[in-house]
Amino acid sequence: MDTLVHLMNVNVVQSRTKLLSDADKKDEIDSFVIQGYLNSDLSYLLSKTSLATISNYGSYGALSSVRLRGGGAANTTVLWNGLPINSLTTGGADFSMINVGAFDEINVVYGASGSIYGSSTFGGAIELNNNPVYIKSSELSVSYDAGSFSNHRLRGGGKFSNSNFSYSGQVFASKGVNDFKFIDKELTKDGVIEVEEIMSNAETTDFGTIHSLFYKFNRHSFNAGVWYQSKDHNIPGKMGQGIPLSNQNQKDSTLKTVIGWNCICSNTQFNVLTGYITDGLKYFDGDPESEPSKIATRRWINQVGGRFYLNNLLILSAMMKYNRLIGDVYAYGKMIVEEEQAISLAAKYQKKWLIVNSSVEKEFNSITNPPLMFALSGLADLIPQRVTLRAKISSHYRRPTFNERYWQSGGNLLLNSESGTGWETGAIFQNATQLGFFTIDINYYFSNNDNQIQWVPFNGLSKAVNTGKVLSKGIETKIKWNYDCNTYGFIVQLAYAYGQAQYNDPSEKRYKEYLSYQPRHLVRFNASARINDLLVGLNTSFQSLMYDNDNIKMKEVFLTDANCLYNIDIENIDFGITMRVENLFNYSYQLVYAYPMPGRTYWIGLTFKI
Amino acid sequence: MKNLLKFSFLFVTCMLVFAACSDDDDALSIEMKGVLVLNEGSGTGSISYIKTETDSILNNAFKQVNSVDLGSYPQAMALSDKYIFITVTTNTGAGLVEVVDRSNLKHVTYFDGFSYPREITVNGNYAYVSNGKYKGAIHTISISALTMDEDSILVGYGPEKMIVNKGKLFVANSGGYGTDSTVSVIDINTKKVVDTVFVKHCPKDMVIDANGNIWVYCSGVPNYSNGTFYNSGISKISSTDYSVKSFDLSNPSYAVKSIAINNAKDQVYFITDAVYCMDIDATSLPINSLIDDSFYGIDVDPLTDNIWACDVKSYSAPSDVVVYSNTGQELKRYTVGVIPNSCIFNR
Repeated sequence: MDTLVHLMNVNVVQSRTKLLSDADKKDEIDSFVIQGYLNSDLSYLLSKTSLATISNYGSYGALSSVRLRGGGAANTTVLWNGLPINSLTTGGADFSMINVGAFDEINVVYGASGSIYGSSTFGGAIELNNNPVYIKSSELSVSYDAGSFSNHRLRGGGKFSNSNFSYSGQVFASKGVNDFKFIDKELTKDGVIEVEEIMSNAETTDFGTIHSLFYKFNRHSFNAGVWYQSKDHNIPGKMGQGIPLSNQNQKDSTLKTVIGWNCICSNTQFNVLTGYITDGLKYFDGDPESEPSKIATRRWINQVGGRFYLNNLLILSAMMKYNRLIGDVYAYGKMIVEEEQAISLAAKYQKKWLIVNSSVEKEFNSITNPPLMFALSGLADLIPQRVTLRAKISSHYRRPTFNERYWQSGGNLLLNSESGTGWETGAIFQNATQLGFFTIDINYYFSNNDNQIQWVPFNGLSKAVNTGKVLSKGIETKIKWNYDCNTYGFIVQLAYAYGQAQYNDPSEKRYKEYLSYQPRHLVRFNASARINDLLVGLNTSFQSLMYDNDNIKMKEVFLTDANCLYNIDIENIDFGITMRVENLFNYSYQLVYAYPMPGRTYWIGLTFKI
Repeated sequence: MKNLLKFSFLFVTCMLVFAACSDDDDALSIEMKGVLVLNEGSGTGSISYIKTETDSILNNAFKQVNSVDLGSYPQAMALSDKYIFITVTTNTGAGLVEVVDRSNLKHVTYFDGFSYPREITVNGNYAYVSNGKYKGAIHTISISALTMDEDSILVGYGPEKMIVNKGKLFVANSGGYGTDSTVSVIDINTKKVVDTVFVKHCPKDMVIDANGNIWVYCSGVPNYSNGTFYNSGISKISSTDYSVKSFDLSNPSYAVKSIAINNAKDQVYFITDAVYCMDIDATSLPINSLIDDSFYGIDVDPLTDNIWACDVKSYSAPSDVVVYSNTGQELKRYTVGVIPNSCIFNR
């Protein structure tokens, strides 16, 4: 799980996932870009910076999910400091409840390996990390953003550290009415007319706090983290005939805690990680006669690992997991308790010009029997500092969610895990000149899911079953230039992905048809410039047309944001003013069919930092 | 000659490009005499039009005619002389009844204000709409004036199918999000509930036979933990004294459109694990199935007596409507929209 790599007098903890995924295709979101979206939710940032497809049910604060490489929302695993935080009930994660500014590091790992990241990695993994800074420093900050449609976001934080101790904590809250205007179509006797409507029942209130504590002495290091998040969100109605009427409301809350210990003895390193996660959801359909439906889940997650540095070239790693999963959902009919164990073995071979990672993992679940996972990846410098080749073959699985197993009616205890194998290969071209650092990254991937789980109609009800095969393949390219000196800094990045996600079972009616909500083309363009204390940025994203579940064609999405941040230092107090325009060209679009998204949105923010 | 070929090739290419670039939103205007299939959809419903003379299918017909979507989860259609009434349930409390021209599906008007509209039936100048997840009500629409009565008629929980017999409107109270086991009887002149008949649990669908008796399909209360259904069955309500004779079903369908009757009104078709045919004078349920497959809904073509069955196998893929003879022989199969639930015969 974790190791200590000595870099001068600073000890840097490297997690197991980092150790074994450094040959994977990965987007580490630049801090330049993150600065422009500190108070935004993560789905919004990823829609600008990564090759992910975002679903959003209209407005800020609405349920948002992220899909990678043709996978569904439940095929992207999300880890916070090593803990998987996807919902036990649905398998997905609500990215509207993840605040960008809460983390020191955000990584998107495309096609992450099942033997390293666990269940639900067909599309990839998203890592959210809080990292220690073992230098003497202290910082207090407060920021406030006000946006169109009565949106307000407040964030306060503190960081304190010395050579042995590092703490960071934040509190964030937001509130929004989201009463934006949109164009809807209305049928009249004379035909269709376009009418301007105002979004209603889309109010959101959000509160969260996150704290991370790190401490080290001698050979030991400890870390602890707490993350609480709650959201009270009204769910708007859909576009269509009449005013989009809805009285639906959903309240979500989650508490996540993690404690870890690391110890280095000679050339061996041990670590223990334990986490507790509780998630709650209360949905009310707005009918006065209805009772709200409630969902509560709890998880104990425990990992014990060791790492052995055989010599300068070879590292062996082993890990065991024990998780206890509890679901308390009315529709399950009873309290559900599952236990799962896993054992992982891995080896890393590393030379100056070559990295080879290999791993296997076997999970044992008290209900299902996930397949044996494996991964073999490599990164080789063909021309040092210039051309690097990358290749990987790995397997993936997704254990059935609690809803798929226990929901009454239709939950199916006989479901097999989704499983499949993928491979990918790519090349990275780099060149450092006086004009800056240029990188071109090209990647091709091919991934099978041989046992997709779907809900299907069954005698007028629904049933979760293993259906046919799904194939996902495509290319991802990224061109990046960055230049940095004392007074100036620039990052310009253009990323493009072409992907095909298709049904791949010849016996299926939809054989070779494309999956819904999967655009073929994605383009992301980011340009950021720092000129002394001024940071300006332009982010443009394009998503080609796609089809919804009813095979309705949804038009392309073309969005541009502009932002700037100006810092003033007055008597050791940093004042920052941010301005941002989202959807600069007031483009009318939807990410989930019939749920309109906001048009041009203005944000202004103030930051004080001591 | 070569130049001519080149010119022809160029011309055809230009025409193809022009066709490809033409506006998809141009409204369609054609006569739609044939079979109309209502597709609930995965999030957006639609209507498929099947022209039986030519076996041609026009999917998403409502949108092609009107350039907008029909709405979420349409449940039922009913024909009047001039109009087709369509209940659009939605899942947000914004239900409506869409009214279109019977000849071409063009929008005429709509009625909103429904919380959960389910079924609609037409009798004379009135259309009756059942509405409500919980305590339900029947709303009355005047067809000639295209107006809706302000007052509704309170019935049981989760009203679904309605049927008119001898001046009475029978309403199957399915229970909706709860349970119920009654059929409300409304005098259509006074618009008052005059009787309540107890049948098996969760009555959803009804047909009327040649003797005027009403057959009520009751799906029962499911016990999901062991896969059984409590008090499910088919109840036959006497036309004379409303007495009830019931037949137990151990494996009912939970589809809403689960019972149909032939044109002579002497053979009842119903769905469980298969489609069965039962003589209206039979004293027990049939043992042998007519069609060895289960469906989401069945209807009988008044012209041919064929059975039209909605064969739904996916929530996100176009499904089939299968046509069977009244002896259970498959005749035709049409691929329609997502989750078809019923057919009406608009000839």
